[in-house]
Amino acid sequence: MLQIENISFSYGKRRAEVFHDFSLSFEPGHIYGLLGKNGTGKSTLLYLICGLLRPTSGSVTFDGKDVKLRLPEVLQDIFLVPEEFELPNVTMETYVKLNAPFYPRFDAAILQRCLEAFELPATLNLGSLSMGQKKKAFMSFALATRTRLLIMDEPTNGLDIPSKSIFRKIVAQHISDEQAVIISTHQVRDVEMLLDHVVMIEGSLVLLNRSMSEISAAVRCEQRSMSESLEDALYVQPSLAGNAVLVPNTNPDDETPVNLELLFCCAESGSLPESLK
Amino acid sequence: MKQFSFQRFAQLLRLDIRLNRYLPAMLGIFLGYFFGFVGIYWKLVNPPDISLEVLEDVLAFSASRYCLVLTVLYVLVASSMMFTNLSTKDSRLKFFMLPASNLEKMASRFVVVLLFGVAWPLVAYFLADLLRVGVLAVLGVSSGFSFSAVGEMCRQGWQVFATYFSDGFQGNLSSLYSGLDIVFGLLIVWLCQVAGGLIFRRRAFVFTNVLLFFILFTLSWVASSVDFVTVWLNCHADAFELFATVFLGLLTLFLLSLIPWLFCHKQVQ
Repeated sequence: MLQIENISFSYGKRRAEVFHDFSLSFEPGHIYGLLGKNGTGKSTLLYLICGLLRPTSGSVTFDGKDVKLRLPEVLQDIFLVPEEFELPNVTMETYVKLNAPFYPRFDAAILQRCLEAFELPATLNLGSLSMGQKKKAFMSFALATRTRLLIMDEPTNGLDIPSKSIFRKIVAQHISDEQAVIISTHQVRDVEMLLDHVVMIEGSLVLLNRSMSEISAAVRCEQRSMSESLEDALYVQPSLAGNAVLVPNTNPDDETPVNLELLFCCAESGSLPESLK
Repeated sequence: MKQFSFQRFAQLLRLDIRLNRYLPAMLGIFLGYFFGFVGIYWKLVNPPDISLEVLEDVLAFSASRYCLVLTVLYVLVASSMMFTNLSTKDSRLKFFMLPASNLEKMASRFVVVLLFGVAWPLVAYFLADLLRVGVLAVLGVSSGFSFSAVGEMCRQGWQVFATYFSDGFQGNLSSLYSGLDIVFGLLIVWLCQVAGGLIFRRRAFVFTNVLLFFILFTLSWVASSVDFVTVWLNCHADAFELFATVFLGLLTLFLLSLIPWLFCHKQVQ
């Protein structure tokens, strides 16, 4: 579906490369979590995927077509929910009338269901919404477009606690096997129950690119007291309640929930088991 | 999929017009045009001591000249603002992500900014003229419409311009070159404004014309300062005319290629 092949990119010739000979691919039927430190290039990668930035070398193709050409048949299958955005001062009905015709698979029923789930009226005026409400409204529209690739940059920023749960529910409900979702976020706890594939990047390095089931089979997260041994720990995070540890999973059939924060820190420190590298 | 779909283009136009943040300003400009024309025609209500027919002709000529001058000024300024919808990161992101081809996006901006804008003074002129005829009728004065004044000015201008080409095709190459130079020169000025709008994100009109002035001034100074150039021009006027026309033609083609290239290569940051 989406192939990123040997791309290099920098913001200007005199600035350091954000990506050098970077490759990655995304397949339909998955919800990908894109994780990385601040400034590592997550948003840049999302813009490269959408054709909003042009790599200095290499290619990003969607179904074999180069995204930097911004062809309409590619753009109608990609939707980006950026971290920050403005909405025009029109009603949702007007916004849908103006934008929905560009997306052949747009489903008004999905939009209606998402707005109801977020407790937003269908007659709302987009210009008078708070940041959180704008996010909910725009994400509802994004899901309704049913594009084959849906990209969200920090989708849970600005959402209240109940809305984060609703977000997880509606994404899980309305994404089909033909679609792929890429969620770039630092708020891993908000989405870790939703993701089925994790990609961790650090500049041009892909630290981790595995499905959640592979990760669960390879590692387990445990809470240990201060007195317990940490010899087998891949990564240890002290807390008031003891130590949160990431250890190799000796029973691959016994999959446990993954703590993505611990996993991320472990990946950053270079301590991932070989089976995940 | 087609690179230009009229249905998609129409959808894009509809979206561009409805969500255009400059719509109130354009409506304000329209009202300015309208009341400007009404102000010119106001003299007919309390006419000075000349015949009404003469006064009507004079005012129609003034109004039509006002209309054409405003149109030319608008075209120049608006051309550099053709891509003001790309001035912020958010607006660039939204516009580039719209599922329409680059050609459709450029064409919609051309229509919304230029064609509609050029139509404004003409529509305001017609409406003001209708109002004039209506008011004079209420005052008991019969008067004809002066729409033809604009058409007459355009026809006279076109006749002068067409003479260059008709003389040229009859063997007067110098006349042909002059006609082509005028066409290319006008196109180059217009295309420079459009290209400047793509290159400069802010105050494109100012920066573009300052740069153009600087380039022209420098070229003129260099040409007049170098004796060889002056002498050569005097001795080879015919060759220079041909060279100038070819150069302007190539520059026009270059700008026509540059603008789509700039647009297609524009990035969100």
